[in-house]
Amino acid sequence: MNDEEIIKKFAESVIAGEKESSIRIAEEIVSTGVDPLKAIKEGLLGGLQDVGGRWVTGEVFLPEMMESVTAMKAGIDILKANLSGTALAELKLGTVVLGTVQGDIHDIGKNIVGTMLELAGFEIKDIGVDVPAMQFVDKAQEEKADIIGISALMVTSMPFFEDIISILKDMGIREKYKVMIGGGPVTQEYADEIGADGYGRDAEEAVRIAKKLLEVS
Amino acid sequence: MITLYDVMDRIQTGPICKVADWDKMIYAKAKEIAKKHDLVGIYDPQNPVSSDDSLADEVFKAALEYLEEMGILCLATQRIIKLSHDEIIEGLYHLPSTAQAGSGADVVNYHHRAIEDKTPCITVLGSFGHPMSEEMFPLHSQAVVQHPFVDTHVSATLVTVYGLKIRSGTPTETLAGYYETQIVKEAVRKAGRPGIGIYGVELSATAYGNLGGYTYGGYTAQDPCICVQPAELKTDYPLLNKMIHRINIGGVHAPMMSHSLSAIGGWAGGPDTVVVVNLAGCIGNAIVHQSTFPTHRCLDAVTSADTGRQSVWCDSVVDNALARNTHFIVGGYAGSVAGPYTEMHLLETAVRAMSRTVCGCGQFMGVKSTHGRYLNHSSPIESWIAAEVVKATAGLSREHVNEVVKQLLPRYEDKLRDPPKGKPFQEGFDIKTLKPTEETRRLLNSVRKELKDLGIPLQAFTE
Repeated sequence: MNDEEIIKKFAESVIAGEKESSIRIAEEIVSTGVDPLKAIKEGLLGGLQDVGGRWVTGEVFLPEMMESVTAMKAGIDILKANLSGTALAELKLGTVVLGTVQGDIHDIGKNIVGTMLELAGFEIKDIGVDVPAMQFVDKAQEEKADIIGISALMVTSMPFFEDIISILKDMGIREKYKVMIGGGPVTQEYADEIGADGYGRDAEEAVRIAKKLLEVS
Repeated sequence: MITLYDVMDRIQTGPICKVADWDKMIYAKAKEIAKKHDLVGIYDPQNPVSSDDSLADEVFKAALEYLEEMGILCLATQRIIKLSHDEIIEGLYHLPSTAQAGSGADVVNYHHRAIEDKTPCITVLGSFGHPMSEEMFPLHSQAVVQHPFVDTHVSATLVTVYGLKIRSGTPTETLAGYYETQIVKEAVRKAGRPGIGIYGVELSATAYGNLGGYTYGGYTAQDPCICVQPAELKTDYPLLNKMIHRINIGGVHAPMMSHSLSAIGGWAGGPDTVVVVNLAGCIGNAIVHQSTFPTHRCLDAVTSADTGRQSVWCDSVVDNALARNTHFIVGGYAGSVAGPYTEMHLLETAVRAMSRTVCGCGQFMGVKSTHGRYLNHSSPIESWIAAEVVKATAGLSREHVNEVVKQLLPRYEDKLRDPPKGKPFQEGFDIKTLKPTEETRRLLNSVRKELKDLGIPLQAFTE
């Protein structure tokens, strides 16, 4: 097989969520000297955008998207060893600490957004549900995050968005992180009112806004 | 049979399962069982209100098997509440087929309804958790319950209590839980419905609001407790605390709803597997929480609406399965996404009201709007149309309603991702007289006329 064919098969294995195939083809990429960065960018990431699109149209579901993410990560783990530090940095779009605020145990929207962001190339640190405000900040500092992503489905949980932003300001670290908010009752107007940097009305928009905030593509 | 003591034991001793692993198991197991029961490719978009009884029965068998294999996960302890086959079967028979809410002349009696049952479904109507200001909240409640077809009431969610922002899980939630009861009780008294059953505590995101509201001078054991479990097949300490508190004040027969929420496109997969998972969750959560009203809905993960074609179909299959194979008082929802005072909102609501009634729901709850995004964006007319359609469709056939729904769905289903915002309550109602404005009345009557022309026998109204 030539390089283009190998890269195409790599993309297909990840889109299909076939972890073992992804590992096998990644090993073949290494052994045949195919450019690993090219394989990831052209093979993986382009195909994964397609997976996200097919979720919106109902052709794939969240568990299948997760399998694609798992296959992608397995393949990239093999190829990482052959990538320079610069190339690795180029691949990672950013780190997002993601969670549902205190008093709220809903997570399906957060999980979908997290998966779509991973498909797009972000690293996600999911801190779960019912998370106190300070824990978002602590985790962002620990992981040296770029974005703090906060979700709420309950109207009475939304004030915690403001609390997280207040904590960042009071600690003098507001400018270190981009704050994105989302969830059923959340609006752009509310995001603007509380000084959040971004709001995604749905998972697709969340990815677009995250990329815009970090000025990546 | 399983008791609350069994539940409290199993949340501490059941098999450990991390949430991430649980979520992955949901679809994997559902696919396996759906295939075993030949339930692949069953979604029928041409017939959004299903009348396929053999399909419903097969989905029911699959769901029982699924529930026995899975159980219900307690998020707080990440342990599974496993249910044996016998416990599930016993639960099906021990859960109530009749219930009562409210008091005095406003008391209502619920019962299990069959498919196409001629007896009317009980309506549970109001803003259903939409955020409202302290000023508009009581006026909205009073306006909703004026309608004689509103049997019980579910209020809006306050966002402030005496001007303080309510934060879930904090003292403001506890304070607001009681405050809600006082405002709603005064509002319904002013509407001449002092004994109407009130579902609460609507603002209770955690157990604190519930504990604050169900107390001396607040809601009573005759006011059904809202206990809404998250997707999929999960519960948590706040929800179990609500269950225990309700048993403390009124016993296991004090009315309480449980819920099964499934997202089409989410962990439960597509329509084929969602019906199995959602039904299993409905039964499992009802048994674990000793529920009076097992409620369920399947919403679309992309639009977050339950008024789209797939959702209507999924819910009709689950409703049919429950009506045919249990004696539950099944609860249905209207999770409309358009804003108030729009034609779309009224049509979405009408579709849900009619489809769930003919498929055997014993109670119908509504009406949400705009995902709860805009303060005070909820109006009484959506509750009124829901009430009227629910009562009018008792006794109609599913085939008849299917034909009506097929006419209505294309009017709005392509707008579910970007629905109209509508306008706030006070812009479509005279808040002094609590009557609709002339423009609102014309809108409401135009939809009533359209529904009547399509074959929904709504009662007389002024044209």
